[in-house]
Amino acid sequence: MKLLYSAMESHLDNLARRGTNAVMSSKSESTSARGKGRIGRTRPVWADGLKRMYDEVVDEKLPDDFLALLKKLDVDSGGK
Amino acid sequence: MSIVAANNSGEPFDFRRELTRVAPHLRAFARGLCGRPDYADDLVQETLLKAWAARDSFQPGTSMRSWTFVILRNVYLSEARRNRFRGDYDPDAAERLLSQPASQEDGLHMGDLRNAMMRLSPERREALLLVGAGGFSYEEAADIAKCAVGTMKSRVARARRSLEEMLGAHGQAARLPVQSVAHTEILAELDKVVQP
Repeated sequence: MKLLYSAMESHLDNLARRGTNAVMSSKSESTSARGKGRIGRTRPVWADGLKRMYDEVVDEKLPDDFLALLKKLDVDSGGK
Repeated sequence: MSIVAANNSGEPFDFRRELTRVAPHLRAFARGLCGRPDYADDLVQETLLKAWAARDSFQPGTSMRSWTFVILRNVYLSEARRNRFRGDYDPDAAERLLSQPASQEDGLHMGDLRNAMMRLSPERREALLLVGAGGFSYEEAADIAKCAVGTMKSRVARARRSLEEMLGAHGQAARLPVQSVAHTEILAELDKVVQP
C-alpha cells in the first residue's frame, strides 16, 4: 500500500504542475499551483486513480500459476 | 483450424502468446469487476481455459483483448448468478480499507475509490472499467457488454456522477454503510449470452 500512496503523491504533484483543477490533497495544495488552476475539462483525480488501479494490475508480473496454466495449454495442444 | 494461422500482417498467429499477452488485462478487469484479487484470479484462470477451448472461433486480426473480455464477463456473470445471494463483495475488506488511517488526508484514497467503485451497480462499474480504466471506445465497450452504444455512454456518465457524489469534494468516500451489490440489468442479459 505504501507504494500506492507514493505513486499517488507523485501523481498528484504531476497534476498540480499541470495546473489542473482536479480535487487534490491539502498536502499537494500547499506546494502546488492549484490556486491558479483553470476550471475546465481536466480529468477528475478519481479518473486517474481508476486508470492507475487498472494499470497497476496490468503491470504486475503474471503469477506463476498463470504461466504454468498457459504453458500447460500449449503442451496439451501438442496434437492440434 | 490450426492454432497457427496468418494474421493480417502475415506473421504467424500464436494463440497462446496472444493469450499470455492479454492475461494481465484480464486480471485487471476481473479485479475491478469483483473487487477481490483472489476471486478475480480464479475467474481469469477459468477464462483462459475457456478461451483456449474456443480458440478456433477467434479471428486473428480482431482484438484478443475484447474477445477474452467477453469470455471473462460471461464467466463472472455465471459465477455472480450462482452466488447471487452472497454477493461478490467482501464488506469486511471494505471496512478494513476504510479504517486505514494512513494518508487519509492526502486526497484521493485508493481504498475509497475501490469502495466507491464497488458501490456502483455492476453494469455501471463495468462501463467505467471498460471505458475509463481499460481505454476501450464506447463502441468497443458496448460490444463487450452486449448493449447499445447509447446505453454504454449513459452508464459511464451515471457512473461518473455517482463516483463524484460518493467521493465528494475531497476525493474521499462518504462513510456510508457498504451495500451489497445486486446484479440486475447485467444478470437479465445473461440469458441472452451465448458462450463463445
